[in-house]
Amino acid sequence: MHSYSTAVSTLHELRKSGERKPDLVVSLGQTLIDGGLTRKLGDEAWSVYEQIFIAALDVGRDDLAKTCLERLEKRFPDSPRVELLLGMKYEAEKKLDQALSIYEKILNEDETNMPVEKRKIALYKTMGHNQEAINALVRFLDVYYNDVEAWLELASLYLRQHLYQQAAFCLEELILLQPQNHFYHLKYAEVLYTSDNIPLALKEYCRVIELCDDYVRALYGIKLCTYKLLNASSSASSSKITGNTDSHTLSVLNELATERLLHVYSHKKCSKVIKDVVREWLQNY
Amino acid sequence: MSSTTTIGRIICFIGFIFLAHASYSTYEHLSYLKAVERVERELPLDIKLETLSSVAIFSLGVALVAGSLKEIYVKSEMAKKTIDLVDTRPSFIVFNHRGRVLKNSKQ
Amino acid sequence: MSQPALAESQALYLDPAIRDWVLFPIVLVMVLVGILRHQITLLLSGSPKKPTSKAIRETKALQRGVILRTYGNNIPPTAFSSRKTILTQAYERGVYLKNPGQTNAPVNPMTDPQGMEIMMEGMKKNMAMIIPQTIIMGWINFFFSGFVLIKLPFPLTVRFKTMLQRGVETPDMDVTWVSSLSWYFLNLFGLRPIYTLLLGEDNSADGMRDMAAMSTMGVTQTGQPQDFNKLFQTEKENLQLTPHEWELDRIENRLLVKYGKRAESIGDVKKEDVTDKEKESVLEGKGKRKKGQKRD
Repeated sequence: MHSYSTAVSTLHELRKSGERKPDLVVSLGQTLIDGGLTRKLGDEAWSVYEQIFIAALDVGRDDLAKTCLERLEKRFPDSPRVELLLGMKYEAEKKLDQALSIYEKILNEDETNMPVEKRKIALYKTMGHNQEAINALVRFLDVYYNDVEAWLELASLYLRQHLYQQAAFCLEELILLQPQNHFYHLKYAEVLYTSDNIPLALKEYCRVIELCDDYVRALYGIKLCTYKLLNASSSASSSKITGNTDSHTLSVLNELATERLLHVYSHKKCSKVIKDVVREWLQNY
Repeated sequence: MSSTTTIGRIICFIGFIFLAHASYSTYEHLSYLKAVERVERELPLDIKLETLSSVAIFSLGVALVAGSLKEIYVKSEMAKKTIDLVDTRPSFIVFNHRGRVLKNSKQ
Repeated sequence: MSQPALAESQALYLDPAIRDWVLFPIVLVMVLVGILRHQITLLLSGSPKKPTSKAIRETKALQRGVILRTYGNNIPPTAFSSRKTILTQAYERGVYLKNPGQTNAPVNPMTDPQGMEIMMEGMKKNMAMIIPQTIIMGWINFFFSGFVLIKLPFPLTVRFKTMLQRGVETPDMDVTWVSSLSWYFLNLFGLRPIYTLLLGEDNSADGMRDMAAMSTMGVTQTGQPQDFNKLFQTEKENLQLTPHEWELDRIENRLLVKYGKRAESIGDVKKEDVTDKEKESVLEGKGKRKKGQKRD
């Protein structure tokens, strides 16, 4: 079992990063609660209770969730934040109408409550009303323009409906907000590739490599893009957006991607089988 | 709290004691000079040495307490992240997934 | 040369009772009064007012223009130009304004309820600041005048003598020996870090901030009701002037150069405006070839 202090620090790290690891949180949380959470941690205990509550809902441990919620309600009787957690509990128990009424009540009292608006959108997702979720999210983003999480969510909602143009728009906004983050460029490149905009996808994949050396997914992307462009039947379409990508550059890029991929796979401690598979694939492209 | 931070804090404390002692010695020295009615331009050498060494000890202690250093380039910090870390949207999670059933049935 | 001699001859001996009963009490009183001020301002101002969602939208809309201008080079030209047109049109029509259709006249703080509240807050804060300051100054002048308190460690010009040696008018004494009023001033300016340590950032306990506020209050009567319409129009013009130099324009070449597959050549300069054919010849001519690469 984990020691008490490492459990506390791990939970703290997970809270900061926002990763979704409910199994880990529940097991650590159980240890902490058994060891006496409230008196040992003081003020930090309430955030930990919230974290354990959400993770418990994720793995179906409703008893643990109930305990956490009761303690939070006792400490903060009239807090909108705790009411939000109650709404989440209703969501998990599939009492969706009750959850919706709670959220709308909080929003009536205070229309600027960001977390509750986001939960309402998530509720629309759960209910399957994708269009309503998208509309609500668009209205949300009209006010809170620089909320990265919301833009990512909108992109994923669009992608679910295969609306690639709109998803590309969201990703462009994300790139504007955080230009040095190669993950947004990567997602943008993949959306472009899927919607058959190969030259631009190639440029974005190159950008990912520029921002993060030897990123394998982008190397694969470059290989596929250059292969497609080199074998394109009409050269007119490939020079539409980019005037300076001649076929020589494309083939050199292709070779470069091959070389870097081989380099990455030879250095990793990967088995011979994988190396052979990769080598064979690389030969075909 | 890891051991380096505790050692660091102890070292900082020692540095602080040195500094306090040096300042008190200065005060005593000046009042001695006043009593003897001598005016000296400079402080004695040992007080200067003590002050400087307290600064050095302090720096060592602070460096130990500060924790592990991160690299300057954003690039290297970003390279350590995974997609799961960046693409997580904790405010929008939904609970209608099979995890609720699966994890329970395991027990 | 007379300066060191003066200093030597003026090695005054101060009664330690001065130190005990003047120096420390003044510091203690000022710190406590500062903390008291902070708590009182907290009580008076109540909970901070939250802006409405329309107000938030206004501020963020301005940020949109700034972000597009600063980082616009990272997105493709089509995306940039479409955003530019949309935003400039929106700014022009005042889509993001909190109260659309407002005239350009500055908002009268008497009628705008939010402006009224801001003014009341400012006045309350001012009262809370000024009263303790005047009281303490009077107290010090009454009780602690007529003697020198401390010797400043740094030299000063003669002009300060009248201000800093208020109770003790001697023509010869060093300016570094000062009265208790100047110790009060020193504390006023110097206790800010201590307040930060005790009360955290953004405390209402120091006197510097209201002095700055007093000087600016006279110039502009209203702080918060900024004229967003004007700001939007300026932003619109800035946007229209922004060119777009696509970051990814020659990125394939840059990438090859980075991995050493191609040497840097003139073609890498962004502002080159050559036709395709000329670009090709420039690349071929100036770039060196590594082994294994053929000339086309």
